[in-house]
Order: sequence, then C-alpha cells, then structure tokens
Amino acid sequence: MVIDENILISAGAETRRYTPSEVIFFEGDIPNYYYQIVKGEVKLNNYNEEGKEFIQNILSDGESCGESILFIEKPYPVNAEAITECSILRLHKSAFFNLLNQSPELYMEVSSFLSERLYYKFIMMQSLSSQNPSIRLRGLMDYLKSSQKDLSPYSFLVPLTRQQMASLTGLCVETAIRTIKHMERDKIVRIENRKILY
Amino acid sequence: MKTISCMNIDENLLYSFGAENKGYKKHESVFREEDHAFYYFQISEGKVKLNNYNENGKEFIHNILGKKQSFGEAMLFLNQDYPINAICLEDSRIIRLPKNNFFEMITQHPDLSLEMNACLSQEIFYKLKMMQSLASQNPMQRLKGLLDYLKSYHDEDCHQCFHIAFTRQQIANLTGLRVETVIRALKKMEKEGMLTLKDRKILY
Repeated sequence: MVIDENILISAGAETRRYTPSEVIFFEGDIPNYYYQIVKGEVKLNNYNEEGKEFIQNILSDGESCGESILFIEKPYPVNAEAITECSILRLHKSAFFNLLNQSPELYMEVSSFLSERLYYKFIMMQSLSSQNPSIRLRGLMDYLKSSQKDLSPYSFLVPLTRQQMASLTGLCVETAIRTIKHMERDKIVRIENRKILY
Repeated sequence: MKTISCMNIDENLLYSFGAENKGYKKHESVFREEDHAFYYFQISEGKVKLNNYNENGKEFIHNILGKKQSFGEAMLFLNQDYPINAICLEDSRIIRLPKNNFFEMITQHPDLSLEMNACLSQEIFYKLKMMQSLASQNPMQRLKGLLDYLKSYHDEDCHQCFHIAFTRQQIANLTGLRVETVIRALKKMEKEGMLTLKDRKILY
C-alpha cells in the first residue's frame, strides 16, 4: 500500500471502475491524477510500429500507477490498461500535492516507492540489453522471486502467462515458449500443469 | 552536451551536513555491484558511468552522469544492495554524504523531498523510454530511442544540430548492441536522412 485509502478518500479521491482491457490513460496524455489500485490488475505498456506490445510492468492491489510522471512536466510515456475488473482510486494532481505538502512522512514513502520502481528497471534493463532470450526471462523471474521469503529452487510459481512473460521481455511468444522448454531441460525451471516453478 | 542536473543539491548545504569532497582517478570505482549503500553521491567535477557486466564480460551502461548530478540515491531508500557499478570515466571529484546525514538533511529541508521525488521520477521516465527501445530487436529502433531521449533535454528544437557527445563504443554499451552494429546502423540512419555524420560527429 502506498497511501492509506482513507487518507486518499478524505482528500477527495473518487473510486472508479474499469472493465478488462479498458484504458485508464493513454501514452501522450497529460497526467492530471494520482491513481491507486484498490482491487484488480493493471498493465503499463507500449505498442511498437508493428503493433507488438511491450509490457513495462503489471501492477495490482494497493499499488499506484503512473505516479512518477506527476513529478515531471511530461506526458505519459506509457498506456495504462486494466487486465481484470478494477476498482481504482483517483485523486486530482493538485489535491495529491497538497496531501504530500502536509506530510513529510508521506513524501519519504513516495521516495521509497519510486526507488523500488527504479530498482526494478535497473534489473530489467540489464537483462533486456541481452539478445539471449534465456537471460531475459531469467532476469524477469529473478526479480519477481526476489521479493519472496522462500528462495529455494522451484518454490516460486511464476504468476504470469507465457504471453505476458514474452511481452515483459520483448520476445515473441513462440520464442518464450521454446526457451522455457529449454530451461526445463536445463533444470532451471520445473513445469507442472503448464505452470512454471522457478 | 546538456545534462539534467538531478539531484543537484547546493554544495554548501551538503558540506554543512558533514559531506566530504573526495578525488577519484579515471577507471576508479565509487561503488561496486552488491555493495551496501552508505552514502549520497553528487559529482562536483568529472564523469561517472553506471554499468554491469554480463556473464561473457560484455558491458552494459545504464547511464553516464556529469557535473552536479547524483547517482545511486534510489538505493538509500531501499534495503537493497547496489545492482550496478559506478566507475569514473575521467579524474573526478565527488561529494559524498553519509546516509544518516542525508536523511537528516531531507527532514530539515522538506523542499528537497519534492526535488528528490522529481529526480527519481525523471530517472524512471528515462528507463521507461529506454526499456521500450531495448525491447526492440531492431538496432535502428534502439538507437533512435537513445537519441530521442538525449535530444529531449536539449533547449532548442533544431534539425540535426544536436551533438551526441558519446563514443560509438559508449552508444553500443548504452543500447546493448555491438559496436560494429552501431557503426553500420548509424550509417544507414544517415542514408535515410535521420541524422548527419560530420567529421565522425553524430548530429541529430
């Protein structure tokens, strides 16, 4: 949880509902609101010239989306799209900054949160710079697993579809499927009922 | 080349909270991957690159920073070790402030918190742009992503007059490409009228 929901609501946030594949904001839009997910899953993505999707991040309950862009004078560099039914709190930018100005602790929390996002990007950029699909996929799984308590082999059930894993690593889904099979053979992952254990 | 000054804290304020100014030689590292984060670092003179090496020893550069820019500050807010190395590209002078003093300074100067958030956001913005271009298998697409980003911090909007002050090798390491691929792709981009090459200089 980034900001307590009651604090957001008392500051004037409204709850909005989105259906799967509904867009919360588009790339190029000017940011006017702080968004925080109450329930559901949202992806931040881009489409390249050929219409191929690249997923920057998948966010869920209690996470904010696109908050970093509120701090700089730029349009959104990504789209935000609901994956599941979502209920999202939305607070106007000016009310959001009033809230922060009243509470230094909140400022610090936002800093930690932004830092966490940046940390993810340091890890992911490193693996994306590789042309090797197996390194890209391992980078993603290592990051996801790093927040788990149990770090023993095959203890982590990767909570993503093959398509999502491909879109998060800039690979074609066929390449992702083939590479995951190779990784099973090399005992990097285990596959049970199509689920990937890392 | 113009760089964004982020997080550019007044040097006298840093000293008043106990910062020291330390000299580093070219190629010397300021911190290494997996080190704990103990200091806030801000460059007063020189240039620093943030990088990783993959299993085959190939270098990937995350960013190149200059005068009045800070680096690695995100790790001060997290209980995570550095995921990167910081290495001086030339003889440099760097101001470092111990972590606890840094937080004391931010607490006493709340305006710095806002600036800190803006600065972290700026870095996230860069990475959102760069990740998108890195996801592409097309070298020209990757290069265009980097050039567009660098140019977006240029004051005047001009046609092919923005000088990209990086070496071919640095550009290769910033985009995860081989230097031969960069040289070939740059020539192709010139032929397609996307940029100008003049005395080996890249104008975009």
